[in-house]
Amino acid sequence: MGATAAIFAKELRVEFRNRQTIVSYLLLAVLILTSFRFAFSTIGEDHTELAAPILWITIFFSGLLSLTPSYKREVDERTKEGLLLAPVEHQSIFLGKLAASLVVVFGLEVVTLVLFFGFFPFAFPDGLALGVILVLGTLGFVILGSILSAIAANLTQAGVMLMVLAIPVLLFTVVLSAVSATSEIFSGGGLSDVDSEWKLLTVFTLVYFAIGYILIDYILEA
Amino acid sequence: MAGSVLEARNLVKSFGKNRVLKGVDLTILPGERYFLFGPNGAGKTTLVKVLSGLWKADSGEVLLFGEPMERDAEGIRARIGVLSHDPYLYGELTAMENLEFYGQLYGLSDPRTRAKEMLKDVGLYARAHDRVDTFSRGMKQRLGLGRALLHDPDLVFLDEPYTGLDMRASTTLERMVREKSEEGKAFFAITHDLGQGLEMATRAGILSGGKMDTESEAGDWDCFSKRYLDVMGGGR
Amino acid sequence: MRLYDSSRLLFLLWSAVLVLNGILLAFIIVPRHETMGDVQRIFYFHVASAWIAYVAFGVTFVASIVYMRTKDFKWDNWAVSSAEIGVVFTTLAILTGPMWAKAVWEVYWRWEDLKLLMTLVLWLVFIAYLALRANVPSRRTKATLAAVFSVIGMSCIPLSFAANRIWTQYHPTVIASDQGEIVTEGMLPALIVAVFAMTFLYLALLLMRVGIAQLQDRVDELKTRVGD
Repeated sequence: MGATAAIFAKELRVEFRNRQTIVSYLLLAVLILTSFRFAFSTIGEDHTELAAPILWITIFFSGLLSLTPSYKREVDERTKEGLLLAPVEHQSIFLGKLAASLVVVFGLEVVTLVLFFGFFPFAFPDGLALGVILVLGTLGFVILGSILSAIAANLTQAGVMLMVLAIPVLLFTVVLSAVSATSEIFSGGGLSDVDSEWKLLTVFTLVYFAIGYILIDYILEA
Repeated sequence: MAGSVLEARNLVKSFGKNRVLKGVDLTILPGERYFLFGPNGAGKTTLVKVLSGLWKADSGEVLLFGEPMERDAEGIRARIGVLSHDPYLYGELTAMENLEFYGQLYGLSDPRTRAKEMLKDVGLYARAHDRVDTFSRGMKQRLGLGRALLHDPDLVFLDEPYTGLDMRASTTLERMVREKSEEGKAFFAITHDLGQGLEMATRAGILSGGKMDTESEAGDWDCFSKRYLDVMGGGR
Repeated sequence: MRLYDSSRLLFLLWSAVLVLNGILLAFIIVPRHETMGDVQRIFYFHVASAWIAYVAFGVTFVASIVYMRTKDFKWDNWAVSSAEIGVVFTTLAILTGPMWAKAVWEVYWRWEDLKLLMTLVLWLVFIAYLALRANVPSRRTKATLAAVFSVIGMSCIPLSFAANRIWTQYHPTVIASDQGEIVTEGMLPALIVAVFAMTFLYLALLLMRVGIAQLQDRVDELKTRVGD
């Protein structure tokens, strides 16, 4: 427990001083949102059906890419061995880094939301429902992204490989559920209308958390 | 051997098509300062990584404090310290934060106090709250040494500890190593500086072609040096 | 361990016989389908390919798990071999599907059909798996990380199936001109033979590919020994 907390605190400290994750996320988010704004400016005013896809594409791409440094940084800075030599379980490393990534990504998502509603004229929907779906969807892809970040840290082209590995797995699980639920919500739906979606997201989160917890040993020792 | 800190038998390790370690045997007792020499590419760094448990040998065994690593990985790791070519420090964190972090990882009861003590010991207390990425190489090595010794390990691995050290850092290193070994801690160091190494060593060995070539005790250094020159000169 | 030993040759022979048989049945013997016409004939190979694609992934998944427990490269060889061949069969399935679909459903692809989407996901996961392997230099690291990823990839398949309900809300199944009976009596023998044929073909290719991988490992091992 102490080790997990120590690693969590260390990750946050390093991130806030180094800002690799934060800057790459924000940069990408702004660029993507701007691109969408320009791309759709020719279409006309109210296209609420585009809201969900735009929001989630932005969140997924910015979020996934920003998870790359989580483990890659340790390899590049040559601190990975320091962690492996210490008497800590690999699970603690996994949990500490995951928790830190969640804090950072959630924080950045708030900023993304603000930008999103600033750029686009969509009306603000049911806050609770949107919040729940955002939280669950984010949990899902950050957990998977964290596991894959540990794998990708060993690969050439870590950032790109993280995307290549993550998207097939996310496509008909997290992406589908999150976008369809958000779409429903922007059309005026509430939490009860997106029943199947939040349940699937919850299952995904639990399953992949378990997978990460169990397999992190193999990944870190590879 | 009873009471040994480290025992390695017939270690073999390959990387792809390269067999780096071809059957290495080694025993280290408490209080020893064992220095290993050898030509580049002989496998010295690989040996350290295998002995410290970072890498698994393809065959052979390593017993640390009488146990194989698998039996009590955490217990054993808590008693080992490693100062590698890389100091394992986080540039964005201050010296104090780095040591405190490792103190927490090693389960020390009061990481902050211990970190302060260690900073004083290695002469970095004045820079305790400066980011490590502002440190010189010598300062990083000193801090790295502090990190390696922070949890008072019984066996310490030093991989080329003199590289890039300034005078002050060298002196600190030697002082601490002698102090600790007098307390019964064991040291296993790799270096290519024969003179400096033999001054500190209680035992020395030469690793050549993936195998232990020679081992000698202090007092036998003349013979050892001759052998060393032979090996380094290319003879076998 | 010879590449062309008797059991492998036997498999190859059998698969050749069955494939030829299958072609014979599918293209000549089975009567023209009432509603779909001649294009129906490719359906047999399409279904068989798709089925093998899933089997191939299953093999990769199981081999990966066994590798993680035993650390024996033999299992990793089975995993990668099945993945490489699986990609081929999946590609075949995805290519033959639209050929058939255009004639029957009048569209090349139906987003509302879960089976199509799952096959697409499978294809993407296979490709990701192979891309991962291509990006790791060390043999052991490659095997371990690939094994972990195949567990990750496999776990998303049942979850993706469960997502069907969500998917169909937005893409309700069109009860179009298609149905009537897809599988009629006369088609059954051809279908069965096609499935057997593809299965044997897969097995024959798999055994050969595994043989090559094992030989490669043996060569590497000998090179290590010689290097002393």
